[in-house]
Amino acid sequence: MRPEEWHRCVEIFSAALEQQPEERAAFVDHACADDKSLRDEVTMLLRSHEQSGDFISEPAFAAAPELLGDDREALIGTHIGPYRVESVLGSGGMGVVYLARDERLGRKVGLKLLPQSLIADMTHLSRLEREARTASALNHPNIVTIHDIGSDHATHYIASELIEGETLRERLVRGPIQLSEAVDIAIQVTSALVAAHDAGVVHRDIKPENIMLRPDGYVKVLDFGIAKVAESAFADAAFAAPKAFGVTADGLESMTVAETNLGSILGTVRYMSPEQARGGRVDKTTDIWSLGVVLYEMVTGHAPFTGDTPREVMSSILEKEPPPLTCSVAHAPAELQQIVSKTLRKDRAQRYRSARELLEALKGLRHKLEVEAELERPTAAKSWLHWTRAPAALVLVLLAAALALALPFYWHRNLTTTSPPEKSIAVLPFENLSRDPDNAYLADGIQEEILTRLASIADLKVISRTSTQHYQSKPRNLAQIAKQLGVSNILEGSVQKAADQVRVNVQLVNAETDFHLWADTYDRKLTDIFDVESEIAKGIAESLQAKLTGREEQVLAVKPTNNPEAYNAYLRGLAFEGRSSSSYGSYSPDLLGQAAGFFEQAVQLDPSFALAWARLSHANAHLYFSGGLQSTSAQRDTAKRALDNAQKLEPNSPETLLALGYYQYYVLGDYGLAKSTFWHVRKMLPSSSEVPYALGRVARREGKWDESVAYFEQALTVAPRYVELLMELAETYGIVRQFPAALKLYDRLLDITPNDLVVIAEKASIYQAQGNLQEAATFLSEIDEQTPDELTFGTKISQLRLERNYGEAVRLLQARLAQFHFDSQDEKEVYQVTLALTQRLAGDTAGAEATAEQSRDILERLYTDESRSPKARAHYAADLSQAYAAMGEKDLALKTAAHAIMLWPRAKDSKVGPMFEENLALIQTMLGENSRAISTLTQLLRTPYSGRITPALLRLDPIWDPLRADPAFQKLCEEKQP
Amino acid sequence: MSVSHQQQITQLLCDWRDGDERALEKLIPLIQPELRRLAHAYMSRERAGHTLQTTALLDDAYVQLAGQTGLPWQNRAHFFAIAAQLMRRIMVHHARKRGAQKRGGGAVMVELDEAAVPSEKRSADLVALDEALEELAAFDRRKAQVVEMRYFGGLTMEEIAEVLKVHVNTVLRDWTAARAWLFARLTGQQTHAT
Repeated sequence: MRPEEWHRCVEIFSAALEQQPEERAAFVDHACADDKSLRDEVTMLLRSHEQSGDFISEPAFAAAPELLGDDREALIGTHIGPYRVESVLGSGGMGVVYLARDERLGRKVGLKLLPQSLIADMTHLSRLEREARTASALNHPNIVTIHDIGSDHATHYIASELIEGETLRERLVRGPIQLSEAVDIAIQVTSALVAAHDAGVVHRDIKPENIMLRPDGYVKVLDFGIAKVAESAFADAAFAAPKAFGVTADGLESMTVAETNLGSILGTVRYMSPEQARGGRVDKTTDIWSLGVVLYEMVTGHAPFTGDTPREVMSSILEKEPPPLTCSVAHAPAELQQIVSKTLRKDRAQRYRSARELLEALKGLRHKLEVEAELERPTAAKSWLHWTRAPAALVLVLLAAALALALPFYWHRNLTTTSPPEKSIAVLPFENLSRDPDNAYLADGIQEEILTRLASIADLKVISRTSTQHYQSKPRNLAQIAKQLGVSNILEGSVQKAADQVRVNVQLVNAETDFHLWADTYDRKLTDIFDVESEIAKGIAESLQAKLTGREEQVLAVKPTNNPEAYNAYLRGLAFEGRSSSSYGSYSPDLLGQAAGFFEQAVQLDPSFALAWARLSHANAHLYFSGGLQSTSAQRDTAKRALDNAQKLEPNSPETLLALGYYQYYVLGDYGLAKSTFWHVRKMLPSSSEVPYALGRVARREGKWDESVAYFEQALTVAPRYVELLMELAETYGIVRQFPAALKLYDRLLDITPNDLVVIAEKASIYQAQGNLQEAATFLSEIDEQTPDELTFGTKISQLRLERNYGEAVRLLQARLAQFHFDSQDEKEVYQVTLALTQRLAGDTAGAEATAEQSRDILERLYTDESRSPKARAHYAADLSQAYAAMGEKDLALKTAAHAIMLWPRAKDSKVGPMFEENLALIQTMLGENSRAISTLTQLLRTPYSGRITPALLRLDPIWDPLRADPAFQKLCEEKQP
Repeated sequence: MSVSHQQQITQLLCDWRDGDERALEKLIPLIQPELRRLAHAYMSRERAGHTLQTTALLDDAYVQLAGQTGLPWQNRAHFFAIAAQLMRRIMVHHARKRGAQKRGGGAVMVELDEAAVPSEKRSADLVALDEALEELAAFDRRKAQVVEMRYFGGLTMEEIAEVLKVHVNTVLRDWTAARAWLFARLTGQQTHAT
């Protein structure tokens, strides 16, 4: 047939189809006239058309998807590296996964072969390998373990733990998942995310295909190997084409999708977050969204955002709200709906801020489901339930349930302490049996040295000394102590020194069974004491069957100095250092100063004593940092000199690195550097509480409050009764204005240190922030001008001011100024200024002026003294600005207040920095600059910092009285109370 | 994918849109790995019990490539046309491999109305269809293109119209006629193919 004939044929065929079926034959006959071949052709087409049904109506790749794939079976039976490929397990976006056997170790592994298309690009390959390596460092029960990354000729592979079970996708094909099971799966996936996010890894592709369910209930998240390591990718992208990708300096933890080849293509559209759908930046909250989608799908059996094409799905993600869970599951609890809704907020700022926060919410929900299940249990509880029908009893049951929910901390801890890990140990203070009480330091020092050695053993959970020092040596109630600390085993010991002879006696007891696992007595010369410490640490590890790696063995055997005198001084230093932070959470610069003196002595006796140099640096850095008004450049310089020496001698020891981290944190104020250093040490001291604690404090300075809380909570697991840590965590909850959480921690603290005035005052200040002056007053009644602690006294003065009891406040301040012995002139001036402000509030302007005038000279001198730390100078500037304001020196007051902010800005210190802004608001208020003051306060009300302005405080505090007439201020006062 | 790689794809797509047929040959090796990788992803989804959406795969590929290359959305249809050709090549290649031993040379007449078609048979069907399409293209290139875009690319009639710069009714007519002709050809009815 010639083309023109064919076209004629089609023309008639098309026209015929427009006729009624019964008229078509006649139409064709007429149209073709006497061209028989044309008529046959058209008739054949028409018949074919009628018979064809749905012929090729469905696209080929839908009808025959297997024809899209490569020949994956071809590799079976072959060797790749040390692995023999046995069968195909499946394939994902990043390649085919085979079941393979590691012939060296005889174990089965999952072997993922990376597709050629991907590794053709070397930058991809190296990035991928780097990511896989980062992922392989993630050690978490809910994250698939990566055994090996390698290549064989051109084939690149990743060998990982073989998970038996099915993917969540496979499970979902069978229908929705029961509520409690779905929540449990979500909790395990979220735990994995917490660990990954802590390590700076964002998964980016959370979906049912990447979640494995093991028959024993364990859930494993796959493919962290391909998740972007946010930081390295950012660095690459920024390096490759900063302008093209619009990468900004704040993008360390976020990046654009388009810049990578892996990002969006792997994110199955349905689980994509709005920011991924828009091609926007991906961060940790992206994983939270995707988890929300998975949770929704688990509960209802279908995805929340659907459509026939990816574009439709994407527009649904961007624009639509998913139908409520109750549309599919009538009994879906409101709490679950809240959690799902909060994970699926289009605006990521409104989602859970961290996986940890989501985890808490999910755990709360699980707890509620458990309590409900308990109440509904039909079997044994039947008669009991019947009994509870009586209203009073029902109230009791509900009350019990409410209490259970209200006390997450206690429940949590108690739950974990019911079955502590077997390889866990607390070392109680060693008893000093020497006749000379001066030898007490040996007991402390040896205890600390044993603990340091134990902390380097990853297989052990070791409670830090900070949590054990409140206990007596050789107590009777071992079982109870073990329970409080969440450990199975306790080491007790005693030290006796006579001349240069030392006897150390230790016994390791299983607290539950009271079984003595091991005991030993060492009679040695003082010169051999570190051998004893190492032997004890080894003895403990052996008795608890803790595995020691080669490196850990080495660490235990290290002899820090050959000079016994130097070591003796070092142990004395350790003892003082330990005591300096022991007393009720506040640390004693005096004792720490003494510790520094002994470390100095130690390095003079043995200048090659790296450990002592490191401790000397740390002690001085700490003094410089915490000394506040007394910080000196000499402390800073000593910290630097000692650090340099430690680095020269032992650049890679954990102690040197710790000292470096502290120097970066305390002295340089470079939180990024400090963080990476502490991160590094964390691997070397896996069971130390010190490192997560330091990381938590650094994060807090950076204003990463969630991260900080997370680290603190982590430190708490090995230091459950560490008063300082508990104080810091409670303070952090106060800073983020989570007052109930803070109050609970203060109660826990009071359980450890009853009647501690500092804790009581902190608790009172929380009540003040909540506007509950009555409750606050009950805690502050005992505080008077004799109370030694400055913060506590300050809280009392605040209370009196809030109560507008100026007379009493002035009296107390004057009495304190007159009677109390101040450590230095500086502290006196602070009270002087407070007194001036209080007199002013009481209406005694002339008195205020005179009081302020008295402090002026000294404050001016202190403020301009450049040898002091900028933070100390900022404090003086703030005080001085208040004095100027009280004297009516308007320009000077405003200028100095502004300079205080510049000296220690919030960018430098999120915790304290905003306090100087609050000071500026105060100065502006005193000087009648109302609108400026209000705008400063408006901002502060939304800023977490240690000053914690709240609507209640604005309402109550007389210092803001001049602003009260302003409607904008009234509005602030009426804002919702945290 | 490197920046230059992306720019190259963008440039080739523009050239092809502007009528340079050689650009297509250069594009194929650049895009093929992406598509093959996507195909893998889709296969695993299929195995896990998910039904494939019609244009989902190509949409994904497009989103990916468009994202990488900074292509404006107007090029989507043109992209699909290329992708459809690629899909055809990939699938037919695999189908040929599978059916290699079971099939002699030349066209094979097959039944197309079985409900559950085993994969071997689907391979054979696909190869036969591919060959019939070649025959069709020999005397009506546009109709063969329409089928290719529709069947292998999953494009809508409107999208095909946009690529071919013809009215959508024309596309519909082409499709109906081509489909009828192919069906006749593959079920062994007498046709007057040249």
